[in-house]
Amino acid sequence: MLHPGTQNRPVAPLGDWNISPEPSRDIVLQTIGLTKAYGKRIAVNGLSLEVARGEVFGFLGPNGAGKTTTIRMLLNLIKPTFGEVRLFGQRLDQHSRNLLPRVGALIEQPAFQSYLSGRDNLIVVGGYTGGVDPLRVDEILDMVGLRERGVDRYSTYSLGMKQRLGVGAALLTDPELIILDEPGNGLDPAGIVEMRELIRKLAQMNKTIFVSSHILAEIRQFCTRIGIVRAGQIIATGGVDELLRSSSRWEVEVANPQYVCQLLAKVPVLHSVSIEQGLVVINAPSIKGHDLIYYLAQNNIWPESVRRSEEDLEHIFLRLTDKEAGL
Amino acid sequence: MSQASWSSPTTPAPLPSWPETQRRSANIWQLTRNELFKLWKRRLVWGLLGLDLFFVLAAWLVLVFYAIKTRDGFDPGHLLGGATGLMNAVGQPMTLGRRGGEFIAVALGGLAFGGEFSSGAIRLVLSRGVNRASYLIAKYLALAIACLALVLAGLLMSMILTNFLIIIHQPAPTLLNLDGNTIVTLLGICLGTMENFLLCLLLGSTLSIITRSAAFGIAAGFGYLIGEDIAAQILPVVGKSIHLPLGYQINQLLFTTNINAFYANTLPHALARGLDNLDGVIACTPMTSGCVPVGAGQALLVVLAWALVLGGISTYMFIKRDVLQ
Repeated sequence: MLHPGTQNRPVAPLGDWNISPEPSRDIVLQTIGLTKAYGKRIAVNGLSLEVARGEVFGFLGPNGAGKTTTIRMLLNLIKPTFGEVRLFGQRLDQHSRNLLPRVGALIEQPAFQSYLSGRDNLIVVGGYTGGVDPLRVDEILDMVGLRERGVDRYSTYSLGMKQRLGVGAALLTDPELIILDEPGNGLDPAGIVEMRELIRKLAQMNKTIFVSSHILAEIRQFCTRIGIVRAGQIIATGGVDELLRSSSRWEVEVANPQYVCQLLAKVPVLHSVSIEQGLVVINAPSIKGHDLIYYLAQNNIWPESVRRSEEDLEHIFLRLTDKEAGL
Repeated sequence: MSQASWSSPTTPAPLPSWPETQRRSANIWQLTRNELFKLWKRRLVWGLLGLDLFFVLAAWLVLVFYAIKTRDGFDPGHLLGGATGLMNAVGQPMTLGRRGGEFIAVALGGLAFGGEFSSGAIRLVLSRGVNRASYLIAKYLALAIACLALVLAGLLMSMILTNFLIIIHQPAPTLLNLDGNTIVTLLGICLGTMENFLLCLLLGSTLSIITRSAAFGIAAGFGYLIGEDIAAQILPVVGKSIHLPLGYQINQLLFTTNINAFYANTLPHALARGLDNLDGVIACTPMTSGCVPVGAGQALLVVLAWALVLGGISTYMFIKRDVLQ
């Protein structure tokens, strides 16, 4: 018998790992059945997700999965064929003028007026929300390390500098929600590390961040929740730790693996039990180590070792996206 | 290209905050000011203004050249002193320079809209919650102000150059000859030129919005301006050769509507003829054998109809289409 606390706990199968948001959460971003079709081609298909205040939400997916199309719909750049976007609890299509100024965004490659300096570009961007204090522009240039190059024309900037200016523009009006589409693009390794630090810093300030990327290592380091999209559909959402845990398995070293395997196979909450290289391998992400040891001990089995092994995010991502694609 | 450091490693800059009250997208006037700032800072706009003034200067030099060469220029009724001379001396460079200005207006419209589509800057603008209709109107307002600057600069340049005529011939008109009639005629020229520039601006803007490209929009606009001159030579012949009521109606519709030069009736003989030669299809004057005089009201009505068509298409496209750049 398993530990009473875990005995009847339902175990979500991998891939059906959608976690309903808690009712108390302040939902900043919500999409409901978001769909975008270009003729017969469906770029985004019934995508529903929620991002709560203060979350750093990673939007993962392979190239062409519909990430950028989704982000464009979040910013009212393209209109959904079906479904709706809600920001701060209000419909975007009806209140975009009040909602979008509360959002800072960097979409793919930053694109500014090539004939203006970085500083003037920020002044112009500030102008779209009614004007900006020049001091604030200088502060932002400082923050993204472009103070000295602020007076130079944008067309003379390197790709990394353009990306930084794009981040600066996204932060210019101190937005509550920050949407970053592949923010690491064009940055050198040091720049990527600094970008990561910046995102962490923003998260500490209780900013809600929605970041899309196909670089899993990047996402894992700063995201609290992630959503995986494939062929325009969300195939999994949830906390990063939760996802990793859901893919974890237990490896038990015992003297009589055949017997233990047969014994554990009778326990319903364990997905599968097998023997690999002399170890009893238990696929049951939700059970705890002490529960397992307790159960074995109750059956007078004393393992040499009980070890938890986790699949890394990259493998999970590949497995999920391949499985959904039928590969 | 050197890469400046992302942030200071020792003392990272704090993230500044922004007052809550300012979180609303800008209104039309704020957007217009923003667009004017962009135009002011754009060197190419200044270059185009310089080019427009060059056209006026070139037109004045042509005027002077023929005046000296033929000596007819200083006959009574032309550049000989007095109010009529002044009207010709100021008006002719302006009307000649207007043709160049049309191309500049098309380029301005194409660059303002198509440039933002081509570079992708439009998505940054619209992702800030800016109302698309407001942005479109603000852009048109700013460009209209730029066109007004072109017209006024051309007028000023023309008036200054006029005073130099006296160096080569005496008597010659100067600004001292300015009278009420001359002022009215010059204002008519300015108004007509402005209306003409605005139409060209709409043409360039609409084409660049449709094609989402500055280069294609400008090229198509230039193609139209050049094409209408060629068509002006061919279509009347074709229209008349048909010898059908419909042919005459087409001819009447296309060539008797003086849509860009409604003030032609107010011009002296020489200026009106020059304008007719310049403006082809859209500038028929009573001086042309195939045309009949058109009143200002009818001319404005045709302009208004064209403006509504071009403005309607560009507005619909700009507001309704997805931003895919």
